[in-house]
Amino acid sequence: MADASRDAEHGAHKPIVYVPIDPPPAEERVRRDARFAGAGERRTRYTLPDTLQTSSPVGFRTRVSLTPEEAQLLLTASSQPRPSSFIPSRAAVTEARLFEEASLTVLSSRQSTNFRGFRSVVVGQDDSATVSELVRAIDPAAPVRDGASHTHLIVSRPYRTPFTMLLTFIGHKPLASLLTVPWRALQKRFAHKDDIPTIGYLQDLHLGILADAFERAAIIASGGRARANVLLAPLAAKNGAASAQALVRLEELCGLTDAERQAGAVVGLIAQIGDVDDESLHLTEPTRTRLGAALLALRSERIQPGVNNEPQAPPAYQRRQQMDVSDALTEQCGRALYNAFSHFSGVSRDEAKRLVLLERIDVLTPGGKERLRGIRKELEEIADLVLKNLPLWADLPTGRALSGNTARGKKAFALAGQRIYVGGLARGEVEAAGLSFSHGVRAFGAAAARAALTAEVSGTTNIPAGCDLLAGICLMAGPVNQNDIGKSFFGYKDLLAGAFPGRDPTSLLVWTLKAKTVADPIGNEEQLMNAKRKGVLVDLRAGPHELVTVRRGRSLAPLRSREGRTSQERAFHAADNFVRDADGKEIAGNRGAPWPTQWANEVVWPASTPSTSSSSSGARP
Amino acid sequence: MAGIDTVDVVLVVRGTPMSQQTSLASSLSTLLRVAVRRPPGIAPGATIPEITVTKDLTVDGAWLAAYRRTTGAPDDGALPPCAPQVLATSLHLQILQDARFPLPALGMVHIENVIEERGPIAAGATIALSARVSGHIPHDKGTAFQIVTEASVGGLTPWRSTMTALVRGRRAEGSAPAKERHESAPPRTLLSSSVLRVGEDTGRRYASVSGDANPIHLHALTAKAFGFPRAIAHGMWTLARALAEVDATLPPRPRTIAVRFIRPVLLPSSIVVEAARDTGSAIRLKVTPERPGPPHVLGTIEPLAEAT
Repeated sequence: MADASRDAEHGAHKPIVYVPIDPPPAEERVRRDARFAGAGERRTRYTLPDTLQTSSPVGFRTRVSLTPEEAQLLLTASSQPRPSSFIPSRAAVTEARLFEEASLTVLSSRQSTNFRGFRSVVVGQDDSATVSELVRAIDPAAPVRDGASHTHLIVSRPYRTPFTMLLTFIGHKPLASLLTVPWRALQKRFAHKDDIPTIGYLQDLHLGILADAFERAAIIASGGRARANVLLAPLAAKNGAASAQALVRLEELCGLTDAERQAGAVVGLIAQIGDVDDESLHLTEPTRTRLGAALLALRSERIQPGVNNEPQAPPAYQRRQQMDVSDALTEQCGRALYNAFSHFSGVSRDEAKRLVLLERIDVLTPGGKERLRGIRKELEEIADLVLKNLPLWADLPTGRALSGNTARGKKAFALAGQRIYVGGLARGEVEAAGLSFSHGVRAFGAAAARAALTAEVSGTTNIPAGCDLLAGICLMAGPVNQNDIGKSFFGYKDLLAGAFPGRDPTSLLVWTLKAKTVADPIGNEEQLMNAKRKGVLVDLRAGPHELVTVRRGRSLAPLRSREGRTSQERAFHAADNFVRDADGKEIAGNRGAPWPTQWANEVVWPASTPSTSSSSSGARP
Repeated sequence: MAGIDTVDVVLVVRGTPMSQQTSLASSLSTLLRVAVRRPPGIAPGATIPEITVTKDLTVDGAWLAAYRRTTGAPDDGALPPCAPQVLATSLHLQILQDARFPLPALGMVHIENVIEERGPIAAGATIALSARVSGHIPHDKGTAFQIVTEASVGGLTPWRSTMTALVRGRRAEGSAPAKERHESAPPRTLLSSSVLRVGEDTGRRYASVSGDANPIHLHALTAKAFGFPRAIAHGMWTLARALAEVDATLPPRPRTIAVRFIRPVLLPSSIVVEAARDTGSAIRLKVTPERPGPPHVLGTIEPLAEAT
């Protein structure tokens, strides 16, 4: 697809505007108000952990209550067109700026908490020029820009977690399973075949979600000077030997190891970052700090919004609230979705509306209650079939761990919220539009994330006293994966089959949007409830030194690992939005410690031209 | 923990200046000499006589780099706040070995330290180091004394440390001064709070840089011989690592760093390092175990009025 056509759609993009959410009456306003467990008291997911040991820049944050102006700024920053060109960089790329970019992207991107599917290699101006040449050699039509100050190369690997291990045992015949289970395990390990197609799509969805994050991150970390030009289309050598050689050189630039190649890792995404000749999004230091902290707060709890009105939950979670989200808000979410799909796929906005399949299934739609009930029933039936057909020879020796996990998984499909959508694509239609299905799924992931963010921004704006938020959204693949098990092994139809007959849809994600004022519990990690840990929480989220390396010359060095230390800094900590109990006591270790100023301010790559901007973004005073 | 409530037993052994590091064997032999010394104690009506020792040295860049790697101190072109004290350890040992020094080293513990940093000492500077002891301080658990160490460069003294050590069980005459409670007021604003994993090899790594090869820091087995359940971190490592962690929140030089060592850090373990702004411009430093318990180190870092 030609570069021009990939960018031609921007004129047709619709602007995204902030839509307020009305808070509930004062007497219905509740917030988390979590407290620390007393001496000898049993800890639950509703009590705060005593300490948090982590190198993650996220920590446990409370939402930053944005002003409507800030909300609009964030939405605008989140829906910028692809930069047409870069200008010589006016400010040096500091270590702190790379940390902030990483914090808003690979270190906080939506993924399962126990899966680290990305690593990032950041290269400077000279290597960025090399990257541009190599990408052009691989795909001459790729919308590459020259003059990037630096480039993030994202290495991505197939989605593999304990859940996918469990999938190995699903869908076998009783006796034959002794042979078919090992055969499938070998195919997964060495040929990277997925048990069900939607597990394979998760890698693409995650890349799309990351692509969306990069565009905001570049703006916020630079104070508005820079933009990201994200190359999201899968890199596949299309032009013979020269193209294949370029791909190998690109992988070498990332330091891709043989072990990673064997595990199926690929260069999944390239984000070129550079200054642009556009001052319209100048962010002051306090504003960019607040926006950065607000974004990290949205990724603070594991799931938002979960289902917490279980009997043992504190009263705040039991309270019924007369709240709703307006159609005006969901309309903006839809706009953001179609804009983003068009932006990242290169198809026109009208084509995006045709390709993206969306079904609303909440109780406010006609027949919605029955539809929801039907989906829940179907997903539970599939779980029961899985349980019934699990090979006993594998389940019994593991203390029925496989069946136990399957049974627990049912809770993940509760589908609670005022607006629930199932989204997906039809492979044939996507390919007919000139896109690989993989590219389409990536664009869908980016679009889903941007639509979700549009709702989340409204949910964190003008938060009244006594409330944690006004709305949250949960982006889930779990119900889709469960449905896919049913499709693949038990003859069920796709979740979207009824709404889009004859189009052979593949559902990919479910959004549950919920207006409420109480944030989810933060102690929802199994380890917090493990008595042996005594309230000490080790964060599963990654630190910069674990996922980000910086290439300078021929050396690759982990970001923020120095003098035997690793970063304890929480990005945008100056916003001071750390979780506290009612007495103002904080979780020890949650606030982190700023990285030494002289290291944070270190110039990683100098500016191309002397600075003309007064902005100190990415550097500490 | 076995009745031990202080840290950093001053059986510290260091050899010569860091640029001419002594071998581990030499360190151990000095340790042995200091440990077996049986001085008579402070006679009634007497005190510790003034003993002053000096030396000049040029800080070796390789040593400083190793010190930074071990303590995590960022490189701002100057010596980290605790580094001169490490450089002066051989002087401290000279005092402890001096025939006039009346207290035994065995059972001696480092309980407090006050560092005055009036200005930076450039990393490659030639330093005139002096250490002086004079008199004793009655203490309700024994006898305390102070070693004042100064680092001078070009006739100015940008760094001074007052190290207070306690010899348990031997009470000299005099009444113990009222206890100053560092932790009395609650901190106003928490500036940083992080949980650090302290590895089992921390004592060995720091020993190789500081020359303090006291067995209590080296291995659980050797530490057990001295009554510790596991090896313990050097007190000055704990302080240096904590200061490095909260570096971005500290007031710039000139400043005073005053700390009390309360409880040793067992190896391995996790510690919480916190810095909070007190009323005014003072920063409170607190090092505690990851799980609730008495603190390891409490301290205050505050700006120091410029010398006129």
